[in-house]
This record gives sequence, structure tokens and C-alpha cells, in this order.
Amino acid sequence: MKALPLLRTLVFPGAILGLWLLLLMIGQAATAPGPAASSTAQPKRGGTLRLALPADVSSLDPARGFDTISFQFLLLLYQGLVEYGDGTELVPALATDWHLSPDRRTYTFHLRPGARFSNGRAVVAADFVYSLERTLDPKIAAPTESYFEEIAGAPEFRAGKSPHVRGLRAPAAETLEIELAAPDPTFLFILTLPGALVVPPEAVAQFGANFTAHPVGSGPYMLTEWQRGTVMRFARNPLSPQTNRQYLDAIEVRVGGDRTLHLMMFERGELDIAEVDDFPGIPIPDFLRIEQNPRWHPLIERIPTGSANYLSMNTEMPPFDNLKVRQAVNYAINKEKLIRLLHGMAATAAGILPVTMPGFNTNLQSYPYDPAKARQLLAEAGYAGGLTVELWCEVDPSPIPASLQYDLKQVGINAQLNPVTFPTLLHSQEQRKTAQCCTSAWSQDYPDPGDFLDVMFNGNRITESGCQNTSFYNNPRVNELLAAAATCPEPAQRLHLYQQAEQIIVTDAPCVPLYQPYSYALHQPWVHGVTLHPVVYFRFERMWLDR
Amino acid sequence: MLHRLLRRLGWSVVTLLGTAFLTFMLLNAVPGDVARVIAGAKASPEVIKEIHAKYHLDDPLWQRFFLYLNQLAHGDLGHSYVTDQSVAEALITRLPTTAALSALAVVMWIALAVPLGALTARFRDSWFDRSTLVVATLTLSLPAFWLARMLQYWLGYQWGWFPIGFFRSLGDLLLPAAALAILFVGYYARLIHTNMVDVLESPYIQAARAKGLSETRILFKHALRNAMIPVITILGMDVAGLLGGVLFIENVFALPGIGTLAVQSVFNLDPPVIMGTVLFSATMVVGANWLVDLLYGLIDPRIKSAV
Repeated sequence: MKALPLLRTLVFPGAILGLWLLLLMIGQAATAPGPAASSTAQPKRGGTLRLALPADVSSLDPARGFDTISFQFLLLLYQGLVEYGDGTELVPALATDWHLSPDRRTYTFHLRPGARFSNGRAVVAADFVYSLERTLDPKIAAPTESYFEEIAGAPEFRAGKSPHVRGLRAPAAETLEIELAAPDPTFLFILTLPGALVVPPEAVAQFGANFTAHPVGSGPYMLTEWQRGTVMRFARNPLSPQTNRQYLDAIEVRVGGDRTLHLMMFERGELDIAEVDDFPGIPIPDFLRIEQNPRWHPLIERIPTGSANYLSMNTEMPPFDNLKVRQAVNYAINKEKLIRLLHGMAATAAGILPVTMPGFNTNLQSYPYDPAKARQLLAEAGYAGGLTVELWCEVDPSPIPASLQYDLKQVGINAQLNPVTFPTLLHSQEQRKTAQCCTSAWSQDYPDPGDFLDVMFNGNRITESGCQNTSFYNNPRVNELLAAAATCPEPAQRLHLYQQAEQIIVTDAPCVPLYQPYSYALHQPWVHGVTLHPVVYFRFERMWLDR
Repeated sequence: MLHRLLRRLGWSVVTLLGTAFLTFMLLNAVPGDVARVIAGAKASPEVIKEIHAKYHLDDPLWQRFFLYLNQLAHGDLGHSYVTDQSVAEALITRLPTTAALSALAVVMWIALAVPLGALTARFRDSWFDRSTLVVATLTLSLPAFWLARMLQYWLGYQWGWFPIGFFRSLGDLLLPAAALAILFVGYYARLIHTNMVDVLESPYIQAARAKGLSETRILFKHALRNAMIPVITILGMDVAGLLGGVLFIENVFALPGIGTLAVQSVFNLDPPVIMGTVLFSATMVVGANWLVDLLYGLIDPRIKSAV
């Protein structure tokens, strides 16, 4: 037996390897950064803001990117004619001023002199004509295209009957005219959407479909590196006119991992903001721990989002073609419980519109939690013995679908959950007579009630597929009110029309307004200027570091 | 020999075509509109129609499949519908991370499993053998995502010994590779143990002992080589199919590899990328089969002569 020499042969190299690993670990531990708080009152320049996203942004081409995350990075790279101020008011961006014609159809913008793209060329009015035509081009299939169809001549251009959009004109290098087919009080808001951000035609021609990886704009930052699925880096654009909002030298966005990993890295001081990819911004399971921690509590920013979550019921499919069943479901849902399940990271919802929306109605007649009333309505509808429905929801660890299922069970509705991926859920709920009922959500594109009510409840917008009226709700009176409000020039009267429409919709109960989430930002003590905006949310160009 | 090679090549092509066909059909059976994925949640029905036309989404399924095959025949795996990135480029840029992670994990698990298997065979039924068996059974039962998260949480987040996520240097792969290795080391240690027990009882080992050769020499020169032959087959297939484990590990540690690409493509319902990652994985398995055959011949000349 020669066990000892044999063991020695194996153990010695093992010990060396172990020692090496130990030294490596100690080295890592010694270099792990930890948070250190300090504060200065005045914004200062310098430093790199470190962020993380679970997945790449879909596109950095303003004609193609339209999700919440892409939008925030598009605003680093590009500018439009107008932008949001500190609140939802619009302020000049590349336009210094504008005026509206007496017939309220033609806007004339004067461009900021000296504005330049990051490639050095001056921004001229023709660039806006090009950029808007590009958004309207059917070959591009821009997600925001439909918002700009109201520009005069857009349908002819899209049909290939005209080489240019008649309503887009550049009479001078610094003068842009946009003529609409009909007056639209929300058009300036529409000009804040990605499809209206200006790009230089020569850069688009140079990079073609790969423009997304080589973006050229006039925004405060430039893309310096994009390793897909790995990292994005932005550096200050020296040619941007927004010199007062470029405190950060650079922004580094690591791509990959999930919220749990990002929060761990944040707590180790390796990220400057915990989560920027989605609402609510802090992983729900960690929220209580973070909020009750005195170290982090003062560093949490909170804002009500311009978004809302619903339980949509397909009014064309039984049993939800019956008003009493829909109202019964509204009475059956315990919304306070939902808020508890979300650890208070959302507010209860009575109506369709989020609390941040102009025209939010505090006197709306809605449905209190009343299971007895729900059972009574179901009995009146002929379902005293109960009924079974299929509830489509997203396959994620959210406690909401299970809670809805439980509440419905209490009143005799057996809701069978059908968890699917988000694209499948979207497709199914937008397909006519497919999803009986489903969880759904909508967030504002711009702060106007029409962006919710007209999109989700206008019966004239119902299509066989791709329909955003996911309840397939069609009430002629509501359609009339929405049409009248859409063109009403008088703001107060307009909001009143929307409030009337909302009350009828809530009474008709095509959905259950469930909750309106808050958005959170958890940042390091050395990050300043993290004020969440009600539409844009994160405005990285306004942040500064005193690390 | 040539006939055999051609036959194997033919079967490999059939396997890959079959994989492509099945994946394509399954993808199209999933309810969900790819156009909605491309255009985003808020695109109008008109835009959705335009995208259907652009990507031939309304064409008959067989026509689309042959269009895809034609594209493949020209070496084009297509572009991601979500990011517009070339699928081939996405795979190539992510391959080094996955390859490095896999290679490091294989080195780790073999470096541990071989001595463990050999020693537990040599000291069979000792406390060392029994405790190794218990630990091996435990590691076999661990779910990859749980083990990865626990190692990340305790060794990285709590104790700060390792970086906990993202890839900046090869050192960042140590913990993920260890997580992957742990999942396999127990199984391989037991596999080698079983083979070694058989081999150590062979007459030629008895003869070697009778000749007075050292136990180390017998174990690692004469016994291990024979005990490793079946292991090589399984190792080849496991390495090729490693994407299953890599998928979880890469996602937990935010490594930009093919595993994260595969997961993201599924959640995004991005057919070209899903097809690309599945075909990549299938090609690895087919390639590994060939490689295993080749290694077999190198290790055991009798098999080489048979081939």
C-alpha cells in the first residue's frame, strides 16, 4: 500500500491551487468598492455614471426605438423641436419659438441658431423634414408612424402617391412649417416622441440599417461604444447646445443580469443607480428591506407614473358581453389587497386615467370592493351557479394574477390562469375574440387623456388584429365624446368631455382599473439630480456626481 | 472509411435540417405576433401590417421555411427582429465568453473528478469514499440557477471574495465556472470511480502489481487510461450540450454569452435568434459526436483500427 505518496502527489498541487484561489479572493475583497457619502450643493462636472440593464435597448435609431428604455437613451443622443421642462410643460429644444396659424393647422418653428449634430454639421429645417418623412416611410415601419399621419399629405406619401409630405416645409434654413390635416391640440406633445427627433440624412445614408449602432444627433451625449449584449458607453457631446446639462463625463451601461444582481451590485457600490429598466425600479421582494434601511431610505426617489394596470374583459366574448358580469368582476376585486401585495409600490385605481393625467377626475363614480354585490349581479346575469373563464397573464413572478384568481373564486368565478410570455400576451389580447380576459397595462406617450381613452376605448379603432382597444369596447356615445374632445380647442371644455367619456366607460365596466404603479429610483449618495420626470423618468443628462 | 464518413456527414445534415424544421414549426405554433415584437407594444395596426409584408409573415409556412433554408444555404442566419443585429455576428461575439466559461468549467470539473474518482476507487468503502458519494449525490441534485445564485450571494455579495456579475476579465469567470463545474463534478467522480473499480480488478492490473509497479503509476498510468474511455464519450456529449447549464449560469452572472442570447431571444419571441442559437447548439452536439469518435480512436487503438 502506497497511499501516502499517492495522496501527497494529489494534495500538494491541490494546496497550491487552493492558496492561489484564496489569494485571488482576498485580492478581490480588498478591491471591492464600498459606498461613501458626501454632499456638495453645487453641481459639478466629471465622473462616469454606472448603470445596468437586463437586456440591450432595442434601438438607438429614433425611427425604430419606442419603448420606455430606448426612449431614455434616445434623449441622450437626439433632440427634437420641443421637450419637457421640469414637469409636463413643453419648453423649446431645437426650436427657439413657434406660433400656430389662426386656423390652428399650421405650426411655424424657428430653429435655434448654431445648433449642430455631433458630426459637426449645423441642424437645418430640412433635416426635420427628412426625419419626419423617414418616420412616415412605410419601408421603415416606425412604431411612432401613426402619431404623425395627421400631417397634411402624409397618407399620400405613405401610399406612394407623393415623393414628399406636403405638410412638411422648410422655407428657410432655420424655419420649419408643419401643416396638419386638421387641428390637433396635442400635436406639440407628439413632437416629443422619438419619431420627431432629428437625424442628419447623410449619416443615415452612410450607415443605412446600421444607423442604430452609429447614431448621430444633437443631444447632450454621443455613443462611443456599443458591444451588443455587453456594454454601452456614452460621452459628452462637445457640440451640444445643452452645455448646462452635461455634468457627467460619461455614462456606462452594463447589459445583462437581472434586478437581483443589479441590486446586489448597487449595494456593493458597483452601480450608481439600482435599476433603470422598468417600473417600479427596485425589485419588489427587496423593497421592504431597502425602504426600512436608514442607509438607503433617504436615497429613494418616488413618483406616480403615467401608467395604469387593468384587468381587461373582452366585451365581444361571453360571459363578458354581459354588463352585469363585468360589473360583478369590478365589485369582486380587492384592490387594497393588491396594493399590499405590491408593498405599497402602487396606488389603487378607480378610473382609467392615472392620477398624473390632466383631467384626472376625483369625483368619478366607481366600484367599491363588495363581494356580496358581485354575487348578486352574477345571479342576476344567470350565473348563480358560478362560471369558468380563462384569465391570460404574463408569465412572471407577480402576485397579481393569483390574487385576482382568488378574489374571483370568492364570488363564484373560476378563473383559470393562462400565463404566457409578454409578446404572446400582447398578441392574444389584441386579437379579436381570442382572450376572454387578461391583465393589461398602458403608459402615457404624452400627458393627455386622449392617449388613454381614445387609444383603449374608442370603438372606431377596433381592428381584427393589433387592436389596442383590448376590451373591444364600442359605445357610440363614448366614440362621439372622444371625437369631440380630440379637436376641441378649449382646454377646460376638452378635459370635461374626456371626463364624461371616462365616467361612461367606467360604468360600462369593460375593464377593472387595478392599480397605478409608482416609479422608484434608488441611487448612491454621491449621485445628485436624480429627479424622476413624470413622462421621461430618468434624465441622465441632469445628474452629477461628487464621488 | 470514406463511405462511413460520407454516411455520417449525411446523417449530420439530416439531423441539422430536422432540428431547423422542428424549431421553425414550433416557433410558428407559439401564439404571438412577431410584428408586434418588432414594432413595440404601441404600434398601430397599419405598422403591424407593414412589418408582416416586410418579413413575409403572411406567406405560407412552407414557403417561409424554404426561404429560411435558402438564406442558411447562403451562410446567412438572418437579423434579430428586436435589435436588428446579424444573428451570426451575435453568435460570434458571444461565443468566446461561452467557450471560455465552458472550457474553464470542464477543466475544473475534470481536475477534481479524476483524482476524486480514482482515489475513491482506490480507497473503496472508506470514509473518504462514502463522504464523496454523499457530496456527489448532493451536487447532482442541485438546480443550476439556485447553486449559481447561492455562490454569487455568499461568495460574492456577502463575503466579497469574487466579482458578482458582468464580464471584464477572465477572473470574472472563476465563480460562474465553479458553479457550472460543481454541477458535473460529482457525477463524473462517480463515473470514474465505477470504471476504475472494474479496471482495478482486471488481471492486467494484478499483473502490474505483481511486477512491483508503484500504486500511483498503476492508478494513473495504467488503470485511469482505460477507465476514461467511456467517460470521454459522455464528456463529449456533455460539453456539446453544456448550453443547458451555461444558459442559467450566464444569466445569473450577467455574462454576455450564447446562453443569455438564447434566453433573451425566447423572452423577446425573436425567431431568427432562437433559430440561430438552437442550430448552434445542434451543430455543437453533431460536431461533438465526430470529435468523440476521433478521440476514441486516439485513446484505444483497437477502436481506431475498427473504424
